[in-house]
Amino acid sequence: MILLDANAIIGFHELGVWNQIIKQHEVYIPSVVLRSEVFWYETTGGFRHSIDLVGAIGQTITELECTPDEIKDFSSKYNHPFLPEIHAGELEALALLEKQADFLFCTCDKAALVVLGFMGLSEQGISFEHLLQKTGLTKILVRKHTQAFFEEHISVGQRMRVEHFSK
Amino acid sequence: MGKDELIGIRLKVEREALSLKLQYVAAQLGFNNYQTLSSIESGERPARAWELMKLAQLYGRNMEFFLRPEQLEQQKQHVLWREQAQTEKTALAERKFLNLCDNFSRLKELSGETESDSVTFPITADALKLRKDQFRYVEKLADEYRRLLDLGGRPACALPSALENQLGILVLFLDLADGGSAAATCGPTGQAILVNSSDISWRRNYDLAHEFFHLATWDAFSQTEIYDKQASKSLPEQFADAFASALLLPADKVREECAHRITGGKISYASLIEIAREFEVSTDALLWRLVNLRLLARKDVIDTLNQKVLKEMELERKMKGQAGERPYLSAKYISLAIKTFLMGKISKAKLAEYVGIAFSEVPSFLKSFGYDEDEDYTVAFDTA
Repeated sequence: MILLDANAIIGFHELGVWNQIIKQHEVYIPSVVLRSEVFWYETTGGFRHSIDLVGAIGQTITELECTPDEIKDFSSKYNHPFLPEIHAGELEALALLEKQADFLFCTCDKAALVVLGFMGLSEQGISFEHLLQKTGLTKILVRKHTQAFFEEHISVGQRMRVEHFSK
Repeated sequence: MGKDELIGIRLKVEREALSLKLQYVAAQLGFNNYQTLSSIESGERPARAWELMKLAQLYGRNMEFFLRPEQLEQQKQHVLWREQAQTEKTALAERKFLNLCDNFSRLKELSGETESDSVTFPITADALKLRKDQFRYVEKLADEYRRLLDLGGRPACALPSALENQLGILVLFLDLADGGSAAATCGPTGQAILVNSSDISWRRNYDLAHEFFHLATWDAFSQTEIYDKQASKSLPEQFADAFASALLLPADKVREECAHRITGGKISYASLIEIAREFEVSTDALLWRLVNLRLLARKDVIDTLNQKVLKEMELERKMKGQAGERPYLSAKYISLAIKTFLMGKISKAKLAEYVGIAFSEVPSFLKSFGYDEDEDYTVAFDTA
């Protein structure tokens, strides 16, 4: 059960592997990401390619949502001034992750990875590269999609967690 | 009263304050009918997270505003608008303006620039002298600021950056359409000026300099004095105009430019337009400055401004000027938002929210500022 954020969805589309991802995994997308963030992606030369996630709900993907209060409660828990600021879509994804332990969250956003590490949810994170491998795909990847990038920023969050809770 | 009901009431209050119709807002959210929104507002149906986020955007608020009622109690920061008459569009623009001021303050905090953000003017306007010496003092004040900010002989070009980088004033450009031309604010989130980006460049320059005067004299005049309508323009407004004129049109440089172009004791309309273009001000502003510098007679300027030929030439200049690139938000704000993102202090989706673009536009937005989101911009630094 894979929970994806906007970066990962667009990344898979850019690499042309979206169909393999949705075929081989149970894909879940937070409602804020699905309905307000991912509508298209751009390729070199400014060409826009549309992404219709809403039309795919119930067929190839599942929409998941939190109530505004759940997002508020979650953000209150992580609201430390030293942590990076993340968007409502990422907050929703992390709140969902906290509720459901069998989800694996795939993101390649530096700030979101730090928060994931800080919240003690590292085990529920999966890198873009690792997810591709699990799908049986090998691609040349940009830095943010690599396992190394994932580990680097998760560990920043983990260190912050240790420092914060050992005070 | 339940939480959903409270959120609903707040949503309704906000929508009505902006005079937005149920049907319009429902369509913006992609609802098939307005009853869905109506039931959210009455608390019958809870707002979903994405709906609340979109509604907040539409009403110029953030989600927190609806989720945390204590924010409603926040002290309101005063905004001084050029026009006293307020429309719903002005109200929305004011919310956006104050939100951006809050964001700017937050970005400074996240990027660690908080230490240097306290704004202290190198010179502060002396309210007593201002009232006593009036226009003479205003001229002197403009000269001092121009010198201290090192604005050079063509101040209009350097002014936005000087205000942002030397005085810490946030200079924002937003498309206000007919919601107002300019505004200034001074409060807990700092000092900021808002200018209508859809105005022509020389109007924007003038408005910026005008609002700068208001910030420099923020405590010198009451609102009643500023909006006093007994004369066609209140005295503080006349001062602000005189300040803008003196700041953007340095007396020595204007005299120099005119001297080059005078033949037989006369100066052509084309030359006047050329000088106005050089200084990035309107021809009207230049002509009145020439009166002020005693280079032209008031009566001649009134006659000149009514000349059909000059009007046509100015119109042509305006048409060309309107085709130019419009500024967006603020150079300092954008660079701070990008810096904060590259530092990993805000997520990519948050960057999109801060700069008001779609998530998918972020890569091309970054490229337009010379950044690639996939690059690592850190470099090993030897501190030994």
